[in-house]
Amino acid sequence: MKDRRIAFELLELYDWQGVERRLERQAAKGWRLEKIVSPFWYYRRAKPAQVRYAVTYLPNVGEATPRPDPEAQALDAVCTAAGWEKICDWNGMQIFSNEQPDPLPLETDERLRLQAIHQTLKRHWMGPMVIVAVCLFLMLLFCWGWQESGPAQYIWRAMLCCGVLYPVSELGLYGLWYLRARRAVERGEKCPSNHALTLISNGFCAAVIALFVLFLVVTLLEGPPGSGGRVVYMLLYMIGYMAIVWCISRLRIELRERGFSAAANWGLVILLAFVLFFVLQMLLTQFVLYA
Amino acid sequence: MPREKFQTLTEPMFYTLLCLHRAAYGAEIMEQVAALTGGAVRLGPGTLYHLLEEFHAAGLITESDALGRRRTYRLTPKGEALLQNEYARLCRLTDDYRRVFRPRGAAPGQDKEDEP
Repeated sequence: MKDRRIAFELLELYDWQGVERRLERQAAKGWRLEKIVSPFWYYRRAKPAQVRYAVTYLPNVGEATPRPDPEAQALDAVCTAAGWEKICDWNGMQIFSNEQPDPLPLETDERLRLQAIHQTLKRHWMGPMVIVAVCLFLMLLFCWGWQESGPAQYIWRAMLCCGVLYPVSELGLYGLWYLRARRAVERGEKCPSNHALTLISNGFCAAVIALFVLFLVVTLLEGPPGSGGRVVYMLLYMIGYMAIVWCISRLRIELRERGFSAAANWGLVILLAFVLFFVLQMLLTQFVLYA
Repeated sequence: MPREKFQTLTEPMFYTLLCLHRAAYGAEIMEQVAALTGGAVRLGPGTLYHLLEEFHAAGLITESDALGRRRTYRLTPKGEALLQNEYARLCRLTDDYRRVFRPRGAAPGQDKEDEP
């Protein structure tokens, strides 16, 4: 039986309830979260148990913040005193677990919870999402006429549109949720759940993947001679892209554990990203597209 | 018109500041709040951390000691003044309550609870 497994979890940074529920279900099945290296979550096998998970947010502690961080340590100390054990963190989200049957909740003030979520997302999520939206929009403009007319072209364009809608809808839906949550908190109520936003964003993701697969199949079946090479190119490109994202996450974590400043961390990560994407593009173009 | 921050204090804010009249760290504050209120006010560690950060940024408390990961805080004069103002505000509220619910014929300050 495997002792460790890696999962591709489609959870959003603001979806604290989704994260808590997911981890509790996994613990009940005998899997405990060890660490998160975006976009993969690493679990280790343990005895199935009812474990409570809770999440809080530290807006000033991001993926590139050098460790050990004094703010995170101070939070850990306070939480440990209440029986909460720190598991890991993810872009400002701090994940804790507690094996007591009815522990004191980590967060008991909805105003402060909402404030921490919003500040964390402003600092670590909104900027990158805007950049992703702009890049995908430019890609849509650049690649709109990339395919010869036919079914493949329509599928290709639909995929590009879904790709752009994904970050745009995420930002818009989060904004609407935040306004609703702020009004609720002002009335003295709890923050409403935002798990539906995760499901919607997963829907866009699934649509992009499904359209991509459909595009590849249609291109293979109905495309002009040489379409097979293009399909292989795209498949390898996607695999290479995921591998690069994983490498960048791994490097970022390694640099912060070694105490590199956030600026140095980001600088080296961006440099590595450029180099790897360049190499990927060169290799695929040389050995697949023109082979 | 939106309220100024800390113009009125929530119960967790009030009791946290109250507990910092003497230097205390996180676990002590949580225990003291639970003991003072008989468990009526629940102060989660995440909430307490955020409150301490807010108070520290506003100059209401100061870090008096740091031992490893544990940080000890205490009230500043600004924090004491805020707590004093909040106490005065709460006293005004209770006085107004007593004036409104004073029974007929009762002397000022005497309310229904004082009736034989």
